[in-house]
Amino acid sequence: MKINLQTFGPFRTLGENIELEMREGEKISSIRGELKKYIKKHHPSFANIKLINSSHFANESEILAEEYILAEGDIITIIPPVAGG
Amino acid sequence: MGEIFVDIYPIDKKPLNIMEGLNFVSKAPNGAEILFIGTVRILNQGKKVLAVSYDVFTPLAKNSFLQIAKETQEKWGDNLDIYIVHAKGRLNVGGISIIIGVGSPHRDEAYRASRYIIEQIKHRSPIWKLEHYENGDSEWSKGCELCTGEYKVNGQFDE
Repeated sequence: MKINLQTFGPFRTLGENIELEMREGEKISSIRGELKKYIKKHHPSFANIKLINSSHFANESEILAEEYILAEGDIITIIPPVAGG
Repeated sequence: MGEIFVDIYPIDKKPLNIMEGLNFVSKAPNGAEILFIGTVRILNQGKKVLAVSYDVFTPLAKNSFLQIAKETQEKWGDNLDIYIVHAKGRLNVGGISIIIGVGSPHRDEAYRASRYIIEQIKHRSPIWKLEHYENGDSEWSKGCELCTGEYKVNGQFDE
């Protein structure tokens, strides 16, 4: 199944949206591995790949738990370390 | 019951306005109004900064502001008036990136609430800054890993 990953901050250079192919029933935490594979394939010179490990995932209203089960068509946003204020 | 206003302003369309924040929290029951104003500073970690571009996941950022404002009322009184607006877009040095206003009957709650709000935003709100330097380079600020709950501070305002 396909999920749509929105990017912000340091991940913006990968494109505003990334389509990832995930297996049905996978937890949201498994996006990290898929995203690393995607970056190595499509953006091998991307310098901030380590930020994936310190990133969280969210939808428009809340931060999602690591156990959240992905569903077809989910729009998920990756939240790297924040720096507001 | 105090009122809450939270928003993200795209600075090319709507620059942040100090008087708007002050007017929102200045009400007859309040004897203390605090404004915290965050601005772009010229030096960061030894590098001369020309400007900062703020990237914001707007719906979640507004949600986080609202949640933080409600927590603040729970801690220091539901009669607090709270105004939180953050900028989105590119700001030159001196530009205002955030305004936090708190109106309260008494100053102690206003000071504590204002400090609580800015510390929580820095750790919990989905906002990122790209610093533009004098030498032409740009770099994303390192920031801190998102806290998924209340950010605990070992300070006098954390009770």
